[in-house]
Amino acid sequence: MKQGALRLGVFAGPLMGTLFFIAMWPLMHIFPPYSPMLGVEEVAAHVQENRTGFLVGGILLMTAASIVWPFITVIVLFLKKIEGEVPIWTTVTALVFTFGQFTVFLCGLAFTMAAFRPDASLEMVRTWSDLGMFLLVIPAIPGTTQYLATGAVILQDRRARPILPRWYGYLNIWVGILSAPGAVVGLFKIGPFAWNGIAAFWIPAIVFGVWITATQFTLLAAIKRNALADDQQ
Amino acid sequence: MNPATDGNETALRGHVPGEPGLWVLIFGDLLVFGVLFVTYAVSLVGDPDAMGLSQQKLSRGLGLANTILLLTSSWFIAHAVNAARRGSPRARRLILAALALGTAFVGVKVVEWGGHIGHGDTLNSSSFFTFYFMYTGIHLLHVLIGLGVLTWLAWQCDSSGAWTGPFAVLEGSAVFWHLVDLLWVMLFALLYLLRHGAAV
Repeated sequence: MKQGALRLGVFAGPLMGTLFFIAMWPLMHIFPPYSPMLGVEEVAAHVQENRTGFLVGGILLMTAASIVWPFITVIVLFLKKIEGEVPIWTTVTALVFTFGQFTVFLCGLAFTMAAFRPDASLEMVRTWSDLGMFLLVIPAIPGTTQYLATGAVILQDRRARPILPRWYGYLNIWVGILSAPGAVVGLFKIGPFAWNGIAAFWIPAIVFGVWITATQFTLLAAIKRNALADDQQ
Repeated sequence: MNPATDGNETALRGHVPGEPGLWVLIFGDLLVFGVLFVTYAVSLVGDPDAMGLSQQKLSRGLGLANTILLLTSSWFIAHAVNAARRGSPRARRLILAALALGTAFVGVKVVEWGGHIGHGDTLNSSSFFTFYFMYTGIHLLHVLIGLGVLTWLAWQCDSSGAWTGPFAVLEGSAVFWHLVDLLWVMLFALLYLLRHGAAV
């Protein structure tokens, strides 16, 4: 079994997370996100002040969406191992994961558009930056489908020693439910459900952090005991 | 001490309802709802009068009806667990009763939401109604997942109606259904019963 390659694949996850965080925090200064209540001039000034940060951050976000695939592949391999011959929910997980990463790529592209032309009108800069913010938070919607599907796969494992631990299945359901409030950010400019609010941003962001950390440890433990070669029925 | 009794006590003390992993979801959810409740409380302190005025528009009757529906539903699922423990063929009927009451909860919620929307109180028309629709909406997502689980449980019974799956699965599902119930009781108290500001 290719344990070295699998382990390497797992590290694409934290690498993606790190690039994401570097782009958002020191480069674009959108962690925590700016308020949706900011006026046209204020948003344009923020992009202007961090122009290079936005352009480099855009590249990092697009890179993050492009290098995460070995991580996703390792997850999908374990799910397929659990589900066996007709891997319905594994396939759902894989498809929605793909869709979700596409939105991360577009997010990087939107922020690049916002900062690309120094002579662009202020409205145009804010519009592209707003699109970037939406693409950062709204993908919680497909995220919910993906996490619930992953949870469903793990919890249907009937082996005496499950391929992935059952608590990790329940953790996925927890993350799925709590990502859902990200869906409503288009309705609010202030309060807990705005794109900088506690329920639409901070809770999904923190549970995502918990998820990606737990996923690494769970996958590394499963690789260590060679669970892909497990022949329990 | 009688060794048999002693063994029993250990077994009872060491029993985790459902399975240990499930409690990641249960405590995780309780933690986050705790944060949501504190967020609501902080908002209340900020503008108690406006929140209180909107809050008066809620129907305590419908809220109470939903509380009774969920509590009764929980009662039925607890009895389904007992029936399964005894191998009784009543398990499926009890699960279906819990399912029917849970579905009625959704029906009442739809009528209630429809009424507020009809009166112009929508998701972002006031701070209170944002909390009301979002919190009851997140709770409703839990109810819908729970109803999916209950349906699946009913499926797992044999033709006589007795539970055939692993006991921990039924017990764990019941624990989740009790969580849905507990969260609703908290929401009912916070959103419907505790009145605020000048409107009190």
